[in-house]
Amino acid sequence: MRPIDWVVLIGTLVTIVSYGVWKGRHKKNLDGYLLAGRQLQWPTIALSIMATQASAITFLSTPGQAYADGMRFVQFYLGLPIAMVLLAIVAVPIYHHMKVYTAYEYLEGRFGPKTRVVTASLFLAQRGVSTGLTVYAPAVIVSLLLGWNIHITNIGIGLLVIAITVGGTKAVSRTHVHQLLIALAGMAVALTIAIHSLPSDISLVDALHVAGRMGRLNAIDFSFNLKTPYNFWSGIIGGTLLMLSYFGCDQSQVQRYLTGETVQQSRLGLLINGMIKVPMQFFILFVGAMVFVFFQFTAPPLFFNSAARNKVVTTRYAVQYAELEQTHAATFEAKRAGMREMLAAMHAGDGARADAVATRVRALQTTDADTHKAAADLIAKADPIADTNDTNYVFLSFVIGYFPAGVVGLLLAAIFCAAMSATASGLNALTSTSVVDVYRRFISSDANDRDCVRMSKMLTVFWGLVSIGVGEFASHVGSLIEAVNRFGSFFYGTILGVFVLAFFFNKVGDVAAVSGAIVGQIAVGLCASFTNTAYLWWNVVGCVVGVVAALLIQTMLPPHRNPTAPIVSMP
Amino acid sequence: MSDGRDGVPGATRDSLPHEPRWPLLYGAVLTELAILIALFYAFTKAFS
Repeated sequence: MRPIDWVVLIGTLVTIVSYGVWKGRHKKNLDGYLLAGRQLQWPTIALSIMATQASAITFLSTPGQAYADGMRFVQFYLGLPIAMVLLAIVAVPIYHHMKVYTAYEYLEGRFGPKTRVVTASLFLAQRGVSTGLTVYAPAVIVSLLLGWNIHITNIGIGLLVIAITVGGTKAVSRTHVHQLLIALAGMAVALTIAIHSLPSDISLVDALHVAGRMGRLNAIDFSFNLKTPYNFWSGIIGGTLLMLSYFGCDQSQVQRYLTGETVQQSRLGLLINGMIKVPMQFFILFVGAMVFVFFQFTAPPLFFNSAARNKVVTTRYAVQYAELEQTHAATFEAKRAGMREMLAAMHAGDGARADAVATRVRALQTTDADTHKAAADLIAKADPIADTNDTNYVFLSFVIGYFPAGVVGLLLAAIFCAAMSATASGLNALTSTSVVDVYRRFISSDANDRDCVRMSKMLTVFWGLVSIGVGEFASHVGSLIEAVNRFGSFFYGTILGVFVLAFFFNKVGDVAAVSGAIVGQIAVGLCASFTNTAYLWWNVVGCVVGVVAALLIQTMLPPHRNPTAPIVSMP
Repeated sequence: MSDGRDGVPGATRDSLPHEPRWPLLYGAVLTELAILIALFYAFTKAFS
């Protein structure tokens, strides 16, 4: 980090946090504090929704995903526009009509207190852990690559987020706008630099051919395979249900569009998100594909996690690691020569030769992947708690190693902004659920607005400290992130099932809904434990089994009468 | 008239003077998705 990078990084963060603190002053009532007085307009709502979903790990990890596995991850988002349309039609009018603060408050009006307690509790547990990791995950990557102290980085990001979030939802949503724009500007700069850093004789079209021939532009795969994590069908079917659950039932997103002044504003916010999100993810993945091409002509390290690499060379595995590095270097030279030969054949119009060379280069790519795997195994032997998945380190290594002074500071500011935006939404939603679904509902039902706002601020600080604490206890970030992602996906389908029952089946009551959720959850557990089904399909299993089970159980129970909350239809 | 409350240029309280034609908007979102899938597929095939 050069001085100009520090100036850009600190200047950007101080400006953003000061703006958030200024926007969050003078909030006296709960509506103003938790829902920005229900006055926000669609542009802010749309950008706030996008900023909530796009955490730092999105900007760090997604390019790395494209580098390692190609662009097929974009299919994960194909269900998002469909989910936005369905939620705009079904959920937004109901939430607005009831003037609820949280999604779980609606469930009590529809079913009863049991369902509200179960869903709010699941949310608090899952979001409490995952919010801590949205702070810790980028902190550990940045600190490892830059040699910063992990504890100071983790606590620093956490305190900055608390400073913004304690100002309430308006401060969070307004700062989201600037944070997302900074993050996207950083990615645009990164793409420009990646393309301009290619050798002068490699054009953009050449770069696309290199990426495509090496399987990095595989954006759409129509083959149906339940075990493949990302294909068209899992994206459209599983992805739609996952996005319905995340945007319709997860308070960190529901709170974003509850701030809309009218149903129109909230709907438009969701629909604009539906139109922008897929191209945005394609763009971020494309940055990763171009980083991949860059490293076909400039030698990449064998292992991108430099801290783990530096550690293994001080152990008894150093000689073995050095041998793997030699193999990697030789493979790289052969690959680079092959790439140039392939492009020359293409320029000469010799398609058959280009195909033959591409096949040879792909074989070298497989050899290099095996060498990389052997290096990861050595690192794991040398340090059992080392993060052996270096996908998350690819993009930041590229930024730190090859970007000019000042731009590194901008990219780090972009990553910190993304970390703060996603974390702020998490804290904001944890606070709302704690105050509305627990404190005001079960502990102090006669609390006035002033008490609730004071309690909200205290709980924001409390959840912020919990998040920092989760980060401090997280020592194995790679597996923890995967665990939390799977943990979230594990419950989303079941929770969506409860909301489907609430919206569409008025004859189903509290007991049947909770029982159906338990059955759906058991089905997901069996599916996850005893099959190799990709995790997007768990959402389908949890939702469908939960709904069907609740409907069957309700036939054995007395009729459910007089729900106070509205529904969509009454079959 | 922009009151600047959202910190976004052009964001106004009266930005929706008439009820939008929702079916058209929903159709636009889904049509865009279909076009993107077609473009992504063409992109995948063009450079594979």
